[in-house]
Order: sequence, then structure tokens, then C-alpha cells
Amino acid sequence: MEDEQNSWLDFRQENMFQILTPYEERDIYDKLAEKQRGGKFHVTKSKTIVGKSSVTDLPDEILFQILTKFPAEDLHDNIRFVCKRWHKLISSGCFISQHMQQNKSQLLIVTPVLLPCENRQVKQLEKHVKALDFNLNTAPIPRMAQQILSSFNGLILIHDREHRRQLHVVNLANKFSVTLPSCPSACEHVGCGTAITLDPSTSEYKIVHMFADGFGLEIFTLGCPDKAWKRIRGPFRVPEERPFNVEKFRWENPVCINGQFLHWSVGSDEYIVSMNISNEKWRRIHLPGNDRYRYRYDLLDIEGNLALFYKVSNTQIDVWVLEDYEKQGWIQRYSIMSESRIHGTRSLPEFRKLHAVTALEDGHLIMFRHQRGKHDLNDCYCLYDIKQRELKRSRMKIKRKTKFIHHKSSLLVCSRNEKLADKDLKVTV
Amino acid sequence: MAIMYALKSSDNEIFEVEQKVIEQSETIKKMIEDGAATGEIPLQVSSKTLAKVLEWCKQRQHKTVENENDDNKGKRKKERDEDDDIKEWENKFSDELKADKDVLFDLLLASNYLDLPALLSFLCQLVADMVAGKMPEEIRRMFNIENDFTPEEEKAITAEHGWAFQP
Repeated sequence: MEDEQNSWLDFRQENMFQILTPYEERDIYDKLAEKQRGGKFHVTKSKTIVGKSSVTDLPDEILFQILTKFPAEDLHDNIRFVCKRWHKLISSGCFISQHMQQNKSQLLIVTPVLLPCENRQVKQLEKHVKALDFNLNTAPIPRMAQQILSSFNGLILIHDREHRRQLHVVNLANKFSVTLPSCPSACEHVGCGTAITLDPSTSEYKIVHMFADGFGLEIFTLGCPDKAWKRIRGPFRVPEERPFNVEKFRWENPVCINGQFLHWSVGSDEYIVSMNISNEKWRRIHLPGNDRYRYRYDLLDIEGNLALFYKVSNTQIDVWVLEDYEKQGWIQRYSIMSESRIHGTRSLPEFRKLHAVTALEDGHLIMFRHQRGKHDLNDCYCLYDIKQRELKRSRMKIKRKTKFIHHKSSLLVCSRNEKLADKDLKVTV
Repeated sequence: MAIMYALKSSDNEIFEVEQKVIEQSETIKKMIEDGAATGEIPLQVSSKTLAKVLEWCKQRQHKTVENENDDNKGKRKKERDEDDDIKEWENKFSDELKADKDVLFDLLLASNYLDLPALLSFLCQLVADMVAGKMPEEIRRMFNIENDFTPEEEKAITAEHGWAFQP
């Protein structure tokens, strides 16, 4: 009995904290698949299914599959307390990665609220009804999500409102949290670009922060022993290389592909600047096509590919996808032409005033913001259905400066050493 | 003329089934390919459970055949109607299973044994929906699971994570 107790505790110790990467995941998958191939029928074949089975008769493989269907929050709050067997399955790295893969991402809508200053409301987009309108899920999202900057694999990066130089990495589902030291640039995180990334070669999660390229890109690796930000030079060797006006240009959050490839548009009509977080090397990716107005584009992550929406004219948008990061291979996927029908309005919006903001429904639905007069409090949104080739105006009322962030809930946790050291630093909301 | 196969349940009941319906099960398909399936195919599944499995397979088969026969015209509308029909059928199917939990778990085991991934996934989701949002104590009562944690252990898991700061 005591032995069993100990082994269970040992198991917990081993599995409490871990960082998983796609590579490790694949390894675990192979093992799981092998186990399933070899042992799948063995488990049930040895026993006749004669009726009156209960949940305790299910082999681990089936129980595992059932447990992956739960949302991360439910697993953390309730399901893992049911019994030791369930807890053991849920805590395993294999489970955490499979659960993460199966769960679909949700779209968080972060809208600014005028008072108190900089307060934001977060709503969760659940599904679209007849492609025209949205159901907003009013289930409470922890209020700290109000200051969300970036999200990847269930980890979100939030901005501390009280200590404005402070950033936290938080998992909303299992309440794991890490407070990052202040950036060397002493940035207060207004008008800067940040992202959570994953380096597949080292299995490390890295936070990148870009305040000004003259200062360089700041990188913080979760779980690194010296707990310090690292600084690497910006994408331009000399100030004259910059394609933008330094006074006016603000670095925004990069478009982050698979957590590994970062892409920034820098106001150039020739290229975007990109980085592979594995080698931390900058490169310029040349824009596709040969037209004059190549600066009129938006970048978007569509199902793990970088998509470029190039506004050719007021009646045509070409959509390009970066097929190969190293070879800079763009491929034109489709065009949106103004003969696409539009519902709910008499006139078509001018395509030049459309900004691609996010992709929904596995990339089959593209959401555009329609830029309107400065005095309008709400922005107007259009949805383009790729299969039906229809552009429709959404009835949703969305405030200006609303952010859309794809978020996937997971049970991921990082290194234990990263727990908050200084108790005085508290996030108050 | 469709090829028919005879399946024999563990309590010796015979089920006559079309080959196309039963080939959805990878296990049986393999048995047929290996030539092991001459005469009756004996299965380690009770007749009550096997009847349910076949009900599922027939519904699935029905769906794929209809889709093949469709031409593109009016397909979309038809698809929508069909989706509604399937939803309705699935709801009825799952309501029956929810009422009889013993059959549900037998069916889970059977779908694993017969290698019917679609049914297995459907049933897993069904169990998850039944349990979602319930407290641990409710779940234990629902499925007759014994709480094998000591209070100290339970405390230890609760302490594993918690906000390091006040949210």
C-alpha cells in the first residue's frame, strides 16, 4: 500500500511541470500509436463484452479519448479530482499535448471600454449564425484577460496595469503564472509589439518584444537560468535602411506562424521583415507581384500559413500565401472580386478601405474591418466566405480599437522555477 | 446482389448484414480479407450491443450511399436537410444511450474492439457531454467510481497550481 502511495507521488513529482514541444509531442505520439497498434485489441479481446460494463472497465486508451474531449478548465477544476487513475492520465505530458491538438481555438474579442481608462472587455466568440452574426459567449473569462497581448498554446501574455512595465505569462485554465522582469528598454507596453513564441529546436517558449528597432529585439526565454532578457539587434543595420518614418512608425504585434515564424510589416512596398525564432536571424521577405501599390496589404495567419491580402484596386483583393519561408515562395490562392455578392447593404464597400483582421472557421471565413469616418464609435465588419465566394456585412457592433486574438485553452505549464518570486508584485484588476 | 455476412454474437444470436455495412469495422474487414470469415463470424459482443453497433453502421452507410448518387444541382440544400436528419437521428441514438449507461460502456468497448473510430469518437464526446461541468462528487456517483484520494493527497493536487497573485 505504501509503495503504491509512493509511486503515485513520484509520478506526480515527475509530471507536474513540463514544457512540451512539437518534437516531443511527436515522440509521444509515436509511442502512443505503437501502444495502440500493439495493444489495442488485446485489452478488450481477452474479455467478452457481455453487458453491465462501467466506466472502470474501460481501458486507458478509451478513457484517454474521453478525457481529451473536455475543456481544459473543466479538467483542471473538476475532472482530475475524480480518482487517481483519471488524475494520472490527465497529468501526463502525452495527454496535455493530445488535448491541445484536439481543442479548437476560440476567438477572444478584446474591446476597449472608455471608463475607467484603458479598461477592456473580453468576450468570446462562439460561433457564427448564418455567417452574418455572432453569438457572444458571456461565460466569465477571468478579468485579467482584459490586458491580453498575445496567446499561444494556452499561454497568454498579459500587461500589468498597475506596474506598467510588468508582463505576466498566464494559463487561464490551470492558473499557472509567471511574472517577467521588466524589459531592458523600460517599455510601458503601449505602442510596442509582443508575441509568445515556441522554439522547436530547444522546446523553449520565448517572449519577444519590440519597442524600437534602434534598441533591438528583446527576447525572454521562459525557464532560462539567468532570468534576464536578451537583446539582439534590429532588422536594419543602419538607420538609413529603414523604409518608414521613425517619428510616425509604431511596431505592432508580429503575425506569428506556428509560434515559430514572426512577420512584421514595416511600411515598405518591397518587403516585410521576418524572423525564425529558432535561429533568431532577421530576413527580408519580398512581397509578391509587381504592381505599384504593393504597400496596400494586410498580413494574416490562416491555419498556420502566412497570408497576404493585397488590395489591387477598389474592386479586387488578391490573396497570396507564403508556401516556403526559406525560398520565399509565394503562391496566389484566390482573388476577391467585386462581383461577389454582398448582403445587407446596397453598395459595395471600397476594397481599399477593407482591412483583413482575422480568419475564422478553419480559415474559410475572413473577417475584414471596414474603415469608416473618424467620428464613428463603431467599426463596421464584413465577412468573406471563401467557399461561397460571398462578401457579407456583419450586423455585429464592434467598437474601435477592438483586438481579435485566437486563444486555445490548454493544460500546459512551464518550469517550476518561474513561479513568482517577489510577492509584492501583484496584478490588480 | 449485395454480399451478406452472418455475425454471431457472444450469446449466439445471428445477425445477417450487408458486406458494405459491416466493412466499416476494420476488424471485420480484416477478417474477411484474411479469408477467416467463412460462414458465421463469431464476435465477443452481446446481441444487445451488437444490434446497437449495426444500427450505427447502417445509418452511416445510408448517408454515404446517398451522397454518391447526388449530382451537384440542389446538393447543398439536400445536404442541409440531411444534416438535420442525421442530427435528429444522432440525438435519438444518444438519448437512448444516456438512459442506459451499461449499454453505453459496452458500446464503447465494442467500438474499440471492432475498430469503428467514428462511433468511438461520437461516444467519447457523448460521455464528455454528460459529465461536463459536474463536480467530482457528482461524477463519482454517476459512474460508481470510488474516491481513492486521501484528504492530504487531494490538498496536494489543489496546491499544484493556484494563482501566484490575486486575479
